[in-house]
Amino acid sequence: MTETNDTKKIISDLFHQHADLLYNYAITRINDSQQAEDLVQETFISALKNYENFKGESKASTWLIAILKNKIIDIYRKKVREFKQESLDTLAFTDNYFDEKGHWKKGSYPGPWKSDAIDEQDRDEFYKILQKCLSRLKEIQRIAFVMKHLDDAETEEICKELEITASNYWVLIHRAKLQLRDCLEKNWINV
Amino acid sequence: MKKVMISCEEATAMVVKKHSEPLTFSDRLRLWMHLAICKLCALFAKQSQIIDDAAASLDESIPAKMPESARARILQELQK
Repeated sequence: MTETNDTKKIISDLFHQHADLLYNYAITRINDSQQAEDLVQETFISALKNYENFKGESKASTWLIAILKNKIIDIYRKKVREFKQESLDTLAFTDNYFDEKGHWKKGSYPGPWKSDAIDEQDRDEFYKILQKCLSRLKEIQRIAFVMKHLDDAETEEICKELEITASNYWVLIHRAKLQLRDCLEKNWINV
Repeated sequence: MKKVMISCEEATAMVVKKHSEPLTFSDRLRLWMHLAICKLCALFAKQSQIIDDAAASLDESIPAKMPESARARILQELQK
C-alpha cells in the first residue's frame, strides 16, 4: 500500500512537533548521535507505513515514543548478544573497588559530597556529568542501568528482554553504580 | 545460618538491590547493622540514592535538540 499525500502531510506535521522529543529520548538511551538520528528517521517511516494502526486512543507523541522504544530495545538486544557470556561472568572482577576480603580498597573510598541533595543551581552541571559518566560505562552496563532507571522497567522484564540471568543483571547494576558514583565524585567539582 | 557480618562489597550490592526489590528480613537486618558501623557504605548508600533520583529525571534534564541537517534530511525522506 502506498501512503497517501494526506498521511504524508500528517506525519510531516508530527515530525515538526515531536522531532526534538524523540531525538532527546533516543540520544539519552543510545550513546551515538548518528544512530539516534537514524532511529528517529526509522520511527517516522514506520509511523508513515502504519498510520492506519494509530487509532488516536493515545497521544501521537506516546505512539511515536512506543515505536522508537521498540527499535531501541532491538538494538540493546543485539548489543547484549554480542557480549559473550564469559565476558558477563568476568565483569564482576573488573574495575574492582574491593580487596579480596570485600573491604573498600584504599583509594576507592567514597568521599563525602557537599550536600545530601543536588542544589537547584548545580542541577544542569550535575546532569551533564551524569550523562558523561553514563557514556563511560561498558555498553551492557549502561543498557541495564538505563532500562532500570530511565525506563523504570522491572528486573524480570529487563532480564527477559536482554536474555541475561538475574544474577548477571545484579552484577551489571552493582558495578555500574560503583563506577558512576566514582566518576561523579571525580568529575563533579561541587561535591 | 548465614553469617551476620557482611562485607562492604556485599553491603553495596544489597543497597543497589534494595532500590529494585524488597530484601529478605535477614538481609535487611544485616545491611542495617553494616551501615550502622560502616561510614563508607553509608555514604555509598546516600549517594546511590542521589544518582537514582537524578537518573529518573534525566530525560527532562537538558533536552537535546535534533541538528538542523538531520531534520531537513528526514523531512525529505518522509516526503518521498
